[in-house]
Amino acid sequence: MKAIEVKKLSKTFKSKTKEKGLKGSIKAIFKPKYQEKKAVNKISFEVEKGEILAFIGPNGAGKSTTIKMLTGILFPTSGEISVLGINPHKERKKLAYKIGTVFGQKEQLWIHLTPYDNFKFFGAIYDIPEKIVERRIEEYKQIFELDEFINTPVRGLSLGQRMICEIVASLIHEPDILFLDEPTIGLDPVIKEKIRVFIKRLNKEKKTTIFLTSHDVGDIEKLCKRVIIVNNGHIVLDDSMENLKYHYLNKKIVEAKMNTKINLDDVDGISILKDKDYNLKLEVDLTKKSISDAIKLLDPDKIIDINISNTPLETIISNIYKETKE
Amino acid sequence: MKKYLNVAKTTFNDSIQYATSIIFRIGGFTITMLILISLWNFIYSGNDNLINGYSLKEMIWYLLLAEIITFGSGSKVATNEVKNCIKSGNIAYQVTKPYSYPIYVIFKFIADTFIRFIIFLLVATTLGLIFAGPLETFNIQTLIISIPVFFLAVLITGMTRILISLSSFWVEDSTPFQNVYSKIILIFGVFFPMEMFPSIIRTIVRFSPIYGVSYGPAKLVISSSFTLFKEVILSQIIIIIVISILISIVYRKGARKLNVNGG
Ligand SMILES: Nc1ncnc2c1ncn2[C@@H]1O[C@H](COP(=O)(O)OP(=O)(O)OP(=O)(O)O)[C@@H](O)[C@H]1O
Ligand SMILES: [Mg+2]
Repeated sequence: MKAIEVKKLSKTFKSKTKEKGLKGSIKAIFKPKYQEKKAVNKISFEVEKGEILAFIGPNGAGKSTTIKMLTGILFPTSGEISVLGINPHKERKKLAYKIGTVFGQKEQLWIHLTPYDNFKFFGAIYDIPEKIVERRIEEYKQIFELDEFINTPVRGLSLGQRMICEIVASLIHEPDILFLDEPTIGLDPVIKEKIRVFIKRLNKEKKTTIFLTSHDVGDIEKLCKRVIIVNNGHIVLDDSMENLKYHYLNKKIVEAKMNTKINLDDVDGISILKDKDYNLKLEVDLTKKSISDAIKLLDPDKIIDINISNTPLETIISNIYKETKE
Repeated sequence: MKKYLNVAKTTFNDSIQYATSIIFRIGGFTITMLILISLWNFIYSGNDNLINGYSLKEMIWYLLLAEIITFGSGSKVATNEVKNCIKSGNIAYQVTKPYSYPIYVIFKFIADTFIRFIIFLLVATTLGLIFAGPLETFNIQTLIISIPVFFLAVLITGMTRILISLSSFWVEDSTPFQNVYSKIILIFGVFFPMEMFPSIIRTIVRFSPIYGVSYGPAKLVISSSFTLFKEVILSQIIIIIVISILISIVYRKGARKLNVNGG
């Protein structure tokens, strides 16, 4: 059985539109106009058990909408979903025991209570014996160094501390699949890293399937082996991270420091990204030219230092976003 | 069931943290009561006449007892919390938990109401003893039959408030509806016992939830009547069944069309 199977899934939102001003407001009451928005448009994909999948796309692409359908929060307009063999909106409760959800922009904790009391509460909700809950809390306490704030009411926690607690609260029942919708939004690099390391460990030790959306390329690059890119409600790419990184654009960046100024012009397959004083930055299209062509063009005798790298993932992704914008 | 008891326990734990805020509301409660008590004193103007069958003492007790329920069940859990949960989209989390959200809120409401109710009960009883004197007919039997009736009255109030809050799935703001509900209860249930109204209104009140949430419980304590007890309990049970069905239908409809905002 696959962890997730989705076939031709669509979601159309109907929202009221309103012309501007008071007149528009009155008009909207008596004669409401609706606008349809295809947030998710016939997407199909599968996720294997134990995978870490990045589900990414620009703002408004339909990522959160997809997660909400997969977790049974939203009813799809059409299409089929199976999560661990369960139809999410038909058997929400049954599914609830098997999945965990973290929304970086929503809150589930009781803010007057301490993280410890919160964890105990969530444990009880899933019918987990108290002894086991306590053991798990202890375990998470070690991993996330919760000591410092486990007994501080949640309202007194920083954003990062709160997010860690949100994640722990969603994991207290050790779900088979963890859905994370922008879990690192607004967090500092240290906490981000902590969360990434933890997710990785969770996947490795407990074989938890991870379904992640994020705008942070670091999250995606460090965690995921596979990427699905959505744009305008369509899947525009479904490939391994490796393919995306090394083959998708087939481009390399050559940065060189020269001992004299040389004048270059764009040639077919090699474009100049930067030419400032003695520093040059070239982009080589490997389908047309090779790295050695680029080095020859520079004149090897004049090179003091050279650095050849892949196109940054960030650039690759933003290029795909732009290309598929319709 | 066990998990809902846990919800109650956790809420109780939570509500103790801000119990001090109730102290401030007691001030408002006491002032309102004192004004109304002196109003009734003025209307009765010192003589022993009965008004629609109520002596001054009974009238003051009626007012206090009915007010305990409205003030005592004023927990924000059933009103603002449900509304905000739906409006902010945090309901998304609730939907993914292995419990029924309406039942979860009901248990939360009961637990959150507990301390508050006891505080208002004590304050109102003290006011009653000072300004009206003890009710002669009140005895241990009255106390025993009053407990379930008051409990159900609070429960009905909470459930009605939750039902109204669930309208947030469709409307921008459910607060105006809550205010209308409060005013109706206040006028037709708390300030005046239904005997004071013309017969048409009396009949409407008799078969509306007002009977179960204010008139019934208050009148029961004053009259100590076992017949009344049976009538009140019966109508409360019917109301609870009807409201439960309504909540379940409305919630299911709402969840179906739920458009979680943001994120
Ligand atoms: N409740 C709603 N009513 C109407 N339209 C909605 C609703 N929720 C989402 N949409 C629309 O559906 C589209 C997809 O939204 P979604 O939240 O899934 O995007 P996203 O990929 O998560 O974006 P982001 O990265 O900004 O979080 C957007 O165009 C959005 O405006
Ligand atoms: Mg989103």
